[in-house]
Order: sequence, then structure tokens, then C-alpha cells
Amino acid sequence: MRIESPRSASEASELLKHGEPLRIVGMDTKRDFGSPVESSTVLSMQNMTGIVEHSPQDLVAVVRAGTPLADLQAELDEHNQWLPIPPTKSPLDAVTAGFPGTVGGLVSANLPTRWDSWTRGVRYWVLGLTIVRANGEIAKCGSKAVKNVAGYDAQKAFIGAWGTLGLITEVVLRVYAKPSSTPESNLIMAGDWDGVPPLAIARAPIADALTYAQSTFPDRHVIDIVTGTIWAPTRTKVDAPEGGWAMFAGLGDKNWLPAKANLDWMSNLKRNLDPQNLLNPGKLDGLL
Amino acid sequence: MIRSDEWLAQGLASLLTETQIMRGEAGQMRFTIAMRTTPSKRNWTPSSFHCSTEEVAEVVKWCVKNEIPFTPRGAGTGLSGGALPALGGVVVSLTRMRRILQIDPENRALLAEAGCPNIALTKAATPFGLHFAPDPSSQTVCTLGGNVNENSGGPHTLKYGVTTDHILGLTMVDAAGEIRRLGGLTSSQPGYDLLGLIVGSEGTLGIITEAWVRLTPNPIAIRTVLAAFPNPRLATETVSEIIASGIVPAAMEFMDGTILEAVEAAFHVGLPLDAGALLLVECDSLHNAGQADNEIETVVRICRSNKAIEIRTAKTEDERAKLWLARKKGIGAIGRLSPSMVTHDGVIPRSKLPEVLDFVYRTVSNEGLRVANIFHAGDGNLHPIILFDDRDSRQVAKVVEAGEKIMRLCIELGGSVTGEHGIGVEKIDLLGEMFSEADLRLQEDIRRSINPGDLCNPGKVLPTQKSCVEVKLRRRVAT
Ligand SMILES: Cc1cc2nc3c(=O)[nH]c(=O)nc-3n(C[C@H](O)[C@H](O)[C@H](O)COP(=O)(O)OP(=O)(O)OC[C@H]3O[C@@H](n4cnc5c(N)ncnc54)[C@H](O)[C@@H]3O)c2cc1C
Repeated sequence: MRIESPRSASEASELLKHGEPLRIVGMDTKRDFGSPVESSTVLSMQNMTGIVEHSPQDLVAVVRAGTPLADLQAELDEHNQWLPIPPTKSPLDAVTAGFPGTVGGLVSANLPTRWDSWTRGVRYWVLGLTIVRANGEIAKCGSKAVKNVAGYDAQKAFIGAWGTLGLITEVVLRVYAKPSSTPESNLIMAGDWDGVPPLAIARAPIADALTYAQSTFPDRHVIDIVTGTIWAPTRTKVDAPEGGWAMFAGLGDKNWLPAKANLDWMSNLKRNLDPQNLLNPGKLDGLL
Repeated sequence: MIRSDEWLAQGLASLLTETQIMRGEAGQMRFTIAMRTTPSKRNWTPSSFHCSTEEVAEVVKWCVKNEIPFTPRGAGTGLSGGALPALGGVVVSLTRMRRILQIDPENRALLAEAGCPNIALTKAATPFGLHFAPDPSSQTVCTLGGNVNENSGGPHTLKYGVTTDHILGLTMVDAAGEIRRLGGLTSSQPGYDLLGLIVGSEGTLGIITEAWVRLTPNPIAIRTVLAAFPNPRLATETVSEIIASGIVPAAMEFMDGTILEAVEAAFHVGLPLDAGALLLVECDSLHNAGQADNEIETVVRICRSNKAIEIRTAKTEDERAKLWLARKKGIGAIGRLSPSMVTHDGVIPRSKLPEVLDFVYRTVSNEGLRVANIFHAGDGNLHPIILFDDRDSRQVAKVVEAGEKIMRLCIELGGSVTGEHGIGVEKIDLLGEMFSEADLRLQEDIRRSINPGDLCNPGKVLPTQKSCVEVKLRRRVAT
């Protein structure tokens, strides 16, 4: 296994121009989500770290994608600001999927947190991205303004794409003032968690979430009853809830059960953005 | 392929009933009036009015087979010419598809047809203590489909997020005429975020016929203040300070002395006429009234420290409506100040608001023109309205000049050339100034992944699409 650790978008661009398959790694905390990546070369984000700009008056931060979330939170904390991600202190907090990690990982995975109903989640915090495309071209989406409808909302393609459409090297984020108190819990918990990380995340229409969780993960699960998000430690294959979806960690080719259809559009995106399948090949195998 | 308008109309008549097709003078009038743009030189374009997703699909398939461009259209309130048929062809109007199909209060969601006016969604949700959060100022007429395609904002999207944060699913007819469904009642989807790419695509990726929207619980406490300041600078500094204090109000709207003067002349609401600017700030809370109280107290304190000359608070819903009146009627009222006006739309990092607004006043007055400002201050989303006389071609050139200077400053500061009105045909050139060619190639690759053809609302959004538009629309000034 070879590890490449570019220090900038342009170094990453040179690397990508070689045209070899790469496994993109932040802190590698979500390795077990999705399918295994087939690549002997690792692109590590460890040298692309640091806060480029934090404008406390604007509640906006520009961050290199390899920056550990903890570092970002520490910087923000100095101004009594933060990204509203639940702290992982108690066993219950472990149901917050896949934290900690890097900023790039946070955006690429777009996993729900147990505060989603309050904070709206990662997808909402991203104002702009710098992408190194599979062919090495560097492209930006979005802006540093908190409102922007100039052109297509291109960054949406990369949020939650697990690194398969482009390498995220820089992220413009909305940040928040720390509130005096965090919201009451919307969570219903079954069983004893003991800090076991969740291996499945399912989303269902809110009204169905309860029934679905009780029948599918009877002994242990946590449900956010406002967003219909279910976390469960399971290694058993289960079907996605009606009209919903499930994602499982470490289960090979059936990790993703998308809501039918439109896979042609997803394949077109993959073909147009990464025609040679160089970026995290295999990661979305259950999907595409 | 160029087809005569009569040929188009006859073709459509074979698919639809006569009452669904609008043509001739009526069609032309509708464009000139509703679009608020100067009439295009071309002859009228038949507009087909649809009543079902299947009918839309049939018309699109027919257009594709005959290589005829088609342009989706909602209420036509868009401010960048997005619903204008830049290459002629068929205008597909959704305004007859205006039913609320389903309300699901338990899942806080509502399914409506694309032609449904924005306000009707909230009306339907009210009995359940819920509402549709995006509230563009045009909300009594603009449609859900228009909101989805422009990714519209409004005063309260400062706290609650713009349209894209409230769309759960879509039914659409794609650019080939196939009916598709995306998303649904779950709050997100696995795989690529197609829904997120289609919202804000200005009708260039297909025609939306229905949408599942997220409903938001009504706040239990709303606190509203209207503060008057001696000059705009003190008001904009107040805005920056409020945001920097960590409060994100539900809404924070700015109106300057020119707006105030026009509103007062039209409606006699007793606004303090010596004020140079007004700030309307609303704080609300979903759970705990104390929080809204605390926030508004801080807001009032910051207003005072910035020399507010008068601060009005609302105790009842009636009083609240009065405080909002200047904001709601402001744009209409300035109609009396000038024969023509053009509304710009740019966004800047909000801490830069004081200096940028100074720049706006300076730039416009250097051109010998007047400007009125009424905008979503909390987002840093400027809407300078330049007043002029469109019969004077020298003035028109100056208006364009001043507008471009303002937009360039927005780009320089890392902001955007549009916060809510979109690119349409108006801002295609500016998009090329905000983004590099590589950035735009990425956008083009996304477009062709979803719409590989060139018939669905051609000539919009991307400069690569522009070459085929022969009309010189870009220098056009909305009047
Ligand atoms: C007085 C006034 C105040 C305004 N205030 C605001 C404001 O506060 N915030 C804001 O964001 N905007 C505002 N606008 C702009 C405008 O009202 C919004 O952009 C609105 O969402 C447009 O809706 P519409 O139905 O009129 O769309 P149209 O103007 O008919 O169309 C807009 C675009 O969407 C496309 N489109 C429309 N319907 C569909 C569909 N069903 N499927 C696919 N494409 C479609 C069209 O092709 C076009 O590109 C204002 C406009 C006016 C005149």
C-alpha cells in the first residue's frame, strides 16, 4: 500500500492526473460504512489541514478538508462558536454516526446527527467547496455568502457522495454561536448502548420510524422522532423501510437501499465526473 | 428547427384542448406584463396550460420529437427572465395545476402541485399549527414550482433556511418527457443528492409538477421590533453587531429613508420621517418564550447603543402586522417615485454590510441617479433599487454601469451575484465573472448528467448555453 499526502489542491491535482485509483482518507473513522474501496494507493488528507479563515462576525469559516473536526471546534470555541455536532461523551452520544473525523469526511458522509431536527445537519452548513476533479481540474462551488443561487447548486453533488465524484480540499462552512443550552432530546432509546457504535442508519417517514425500528431492531435502537432517523447496532441484513432507506456498515454489496429509480442520473454523474472510476472505487457498489 | 407559430399551435391543439392553449395578442401581453421585462422583439409564442403531470409529459415528448424548445413557467414573477422563452417554442405554464394533494401533519409534510401559490401551502397547514417557511415577498402569487426552481428565499429564511432546505421530494417531467419521482417523506436519501441539484436549476433540468414540502411548526413566541436610525450606516452596523452577537433572528429587514418616504406618502402609517433607515427585527422561538424575549432584549440593546431614535415593539398580532407594513408594501410604494426602476440582487459577507451599502449610495449618486434600499439584511442579501427614466437612454446606460459596479464588489468580497433572483438570462455574463471556466465546466457536467439535451429552457444559467441566444437580452433592464 502506498500513501500519498498532498499538501495542497494543486499537489492533489498533479496526483490525480496520474490516473490511478485512490482511496481517499481523512481519519479513516468511517472505513466500515459502505462497501470496501478497491485501491492500493491511499490519498491521505493529513497534510491538508488548518483553518484558512474564520470570520466570527459573519459566522463563517473556511477550512481545509483534512482538518480534524476537533481542531475546528477548538478554534471556534475561542469565539464561543461551534458546529453544532453533539459531543461524544456518553454512550448515548455514540449513536451520533461516525464522529469524530475530519471536516472533509463530515461533508462527504453527510450522516445524520441526533441534533438534526434542531440543526438541520451537515448539508445545510456547507456554503461552498473547492473540488479537485478526477481529471485534476480544480473547481469551486458556492461562495462565502450565506445565500447564493448563482448557477447550479453544484456542491450538493459532493455532499454525501463519499468521495466518489471529486476530492474535497476546502470547505466554506456556516458556524454558530454556542447556545446557553442544547435542545431537549427527541430520542427514544431501546436497550443498553454501552458505547457500541451504530452500524446501521435508517431513515423512515417519521410516523413509520417507531414501528419499523421496533420490528426490525427490537433489542437495541435509538430513534429521532422528529427526523425519522433510526440508529442500530446490527450486522443483519434488513430491508429498507417503506418509502425510506437504510445504510449498513460492513455488509458488503447491500449497504445502500436507495429509494428506487433515478439510478441512471446517478450513473451519469459518476460517468461525467469520474469516467475512469478513480475516486474511492467500489465505495458505492451497492448503489450504482 | 424554426417552425412557424401557427404550426406550433396546431401541433399543441392535437394534444390539448383549445382552452389550454393561449396564443396571439393575449399571449404576448401576458409576457410583457407579468414578466416585468421589456417586450421581446420576436412574435408571440404559444403557451400551453396544463392540468396534469401526464399532459406535461405528452407535450414535452412532442417538443422533443419535433426539436422544439420548451420553457416551464409559474406565475412569471421571476426577476432574471428565467421563464422567458429565449429561443421561442412552447411555454409550459403550470398555473392551472394548483391543488394541495395531501397534508401529512404527523410527518410534517405536504404534497402540492407546482402551480400552487406559495401562500396556499401555509394556509393549508395553518389548522395543524404548521407552515411552509420560505416566504418570498411575492408569496401571494409566486408558485411552488417557481420557488423550487429559483431556490427562493424570504424574510424568514434567515433563520429557517431557503427553499432547498424545505423540499423533501419532487414529481417531475424530465427533459426527455419521462415522469420521475425523487425523494419522498424521509428527510434525506442515500446516493447522490439529485434533489439538491434540481432545486435552484431555474427550469433547465425538467419541469416540476408536484413537490413534497417540509412543514415547520409555528413558533410559540414571536417578538418584533421596528427601530428607526438617523442614517443607514448606523442601521447596517446594528445588523452586523446583532449577527456577531450570535443571535440569528427569524427575520432582519432593512429599509432606507427613500422607502420610508414612499411608504409614508402612500399609506400614512406614521413612520418617523426624520429617520434615515429602519430595521425590522423579529425573534421567535419554537419551545420556550423566554428565549425569544432574551434575544429581542439583546437586539433592542444593540439598537440603542447604535443611536436608534425610536424603537417600536409589537404586543399583539395586529401591531406586528403594522410593523411589517413598511416592509411588505415598500417595493410597491416606490413605484410612485420614478417611472422605472431596476432591482438588483447581490450577496456579501454580512459583516461587510456597512461599507458595501455606503458604496452602493456613492456609486449610484455618482451616476446622478437615486437608489432605494429594502432588503434581507441578516443574510447580507442586498437589493438596491435604482430609480430612473427608461425613456432616457443615457440614464439607462448609467443604471447598467452602476449595477455592474455593485455586482463586481459582491464578487470581490467573496459573495454572490445573486442571492435569490437567479441567473436566468440577465446575469449569464456575471456568472462568468464569479466563477472560473473550470468551475463552470463542473456545472455544465452536472447539467448534462440530468439534462443531456438542449431543448429544456435553453439559453439560461450557463454561459455555454448563451451562444445560441441571438437576442441581446443581457443588457436589458427590467422595468
Ligand atoms: C415584488 C416581488 C418580490 C419578490 N420577492 C422575492 C423574495 O423575497 N425572495 C425571492 O427569492 N424572490 C422574490 N421574488 C422573485 C420571484 O417571485 C421568485 O423567484 C419566485 O419563486 C418565482 O416564482 P414564479 O412562480 O413566479 O416563477 P416564474 O417566474 O414563472 O419562473 C421562475 C423560473 O422557474 C422556472 N419554473 C417555474 N415553474 C417551474 C416548474 N414547475 N418546473 C420547472 N421550472 C419552473 C422558470 O422556467 C423560470 O426559470 C420577487 C418578485 C417580485 C416581483
